[in-house]
Amino acid sequence: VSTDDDARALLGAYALDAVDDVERREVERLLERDADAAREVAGLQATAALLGAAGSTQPPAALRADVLAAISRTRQVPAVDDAAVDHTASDHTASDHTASDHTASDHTASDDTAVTPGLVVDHGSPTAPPTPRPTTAATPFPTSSPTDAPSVVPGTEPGAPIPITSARSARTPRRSTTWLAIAATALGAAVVPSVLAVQQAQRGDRAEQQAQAVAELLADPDATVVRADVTGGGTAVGVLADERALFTATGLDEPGAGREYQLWILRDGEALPEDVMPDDDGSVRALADDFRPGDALAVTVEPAGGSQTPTTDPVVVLTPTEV
Amino acid sequence: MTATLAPVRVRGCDVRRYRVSPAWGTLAPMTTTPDGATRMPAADDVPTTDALLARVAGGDEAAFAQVYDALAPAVYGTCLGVLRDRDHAAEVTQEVMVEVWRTAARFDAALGSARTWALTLAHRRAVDRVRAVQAQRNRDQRVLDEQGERPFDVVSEQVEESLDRERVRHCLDGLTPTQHEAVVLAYYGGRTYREVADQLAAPLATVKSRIRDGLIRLRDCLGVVTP
Repeated sequence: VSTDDDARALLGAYALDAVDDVERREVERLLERDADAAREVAGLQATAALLGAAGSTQPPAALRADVLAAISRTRQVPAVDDAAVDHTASDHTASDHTASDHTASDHTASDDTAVTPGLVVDHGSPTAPPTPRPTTAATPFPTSSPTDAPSVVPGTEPGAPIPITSARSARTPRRSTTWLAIAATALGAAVVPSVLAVQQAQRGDRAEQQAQAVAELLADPDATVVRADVTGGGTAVGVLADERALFTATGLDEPGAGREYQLWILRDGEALPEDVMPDDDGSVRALADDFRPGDALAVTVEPAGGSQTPTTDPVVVLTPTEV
Repeated sequence: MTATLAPVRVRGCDVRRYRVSPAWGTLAPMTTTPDGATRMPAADDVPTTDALLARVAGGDEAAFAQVYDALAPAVYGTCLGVLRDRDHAAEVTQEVMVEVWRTAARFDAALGSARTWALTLAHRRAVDRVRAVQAQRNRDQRVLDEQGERPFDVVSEQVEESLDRERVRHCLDGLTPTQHEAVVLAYYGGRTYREVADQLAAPLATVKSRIRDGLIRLRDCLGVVTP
């Protein structure tokens, strides 16, 4: 319920595309089952559209011919059958582009989310593929709209992130090889993230979204993996990408009654508060969405619920250079 | 969709309210006659982009050309407002219009107008582009410099003067300064609410509320009526 309230508070930011991918999915899940929220978003999106329309400007004249030429080469997708918003619907979309190399194993991934091999949300593909092979457009993101929102595909079964790799490889060998190589690198350095992805996929919606974010992170060719020992016992591993970082640690002591581990981003000598991390039998994990290149991650033990500024010394600090 | 809106009385001004109809897919001005009666425009007067889109879904390229003519200026304007660069805006406009063609069958008029659908997509793609190209720092400064004035028309002399535009300006002026700031930074600046909060040194929950409350106030001021 509190997740619903969190999502509800985000409706305005969602209508302005001012949320991150994980939050977007949280809101879209709310919209699927809450007509009031869906109505509010429809109104706010119509309002936001007016903010854009207020700047209406004639585009360059040549654009018209370019677009008309492009659409004559572009295959259209069929309507989504609402009664069958499931893997099948997603598959139709995917196969629309890739009929020639569609395979039987290919029953989960849509090409739309090129860097999310595991848990797929079908929001429409990159635009104007000039060839049948799906390309990774500059904007491989969902095209959130009232129309698309209900087409969220509930991802795959728990534990899917790893097997999906093979599904992708059937269609996009080059990318998949890259992904495999990166995943192998990450897994070689630290088994924890993949285990994490699987564990989280088994914990319901929010965890599934996080697992998708983890998959994206592992797919990021620029991500680096860092690790360090935790004061008092345990090992911490971070996967650091340009705009997001995953922190995970195992073998930790209990934080103590009424206390929790909290993640921090260290930037320019300041500690920016991130989530508290519930202790799960000595393991903790969190995604830091505000992470930026050059930032470090730190963990402290804080009063339950977390703090705005650290009240104790960090038990571990992960810096980008500490490879 | 016959909801009536109380006319706003502004002394000495031409009083107009607008409604957004999913069937029309566009803003339609409602004029108030001197005796105070509200006159609705006839639906037949308004181009039915939504109806055209249904034909587009069937592969009708001629219908698409009409949809392009109806939507491209708003799509381009939306992209330009965020990207502040004509070349980027043109590229994203092309992406968006091709996507409109490609996914026309997915459009559901019950959920909103074709125009809202296209402009939601346009904003999303423009924001994606902004976040990808990382001109963030420069744009931030420009957005901050401009937000107090005219966030959506500084980039181009070719902006189309329209009633929509005047209404939006009027309603943006009706927000509290903090709502105005948050909405403008998020919509035209392409920033996440977390970035907005960071920049304004405000708590996340506060910024979420400012954005939502500000949008609701804008919605009511603009007379947006949803299904």
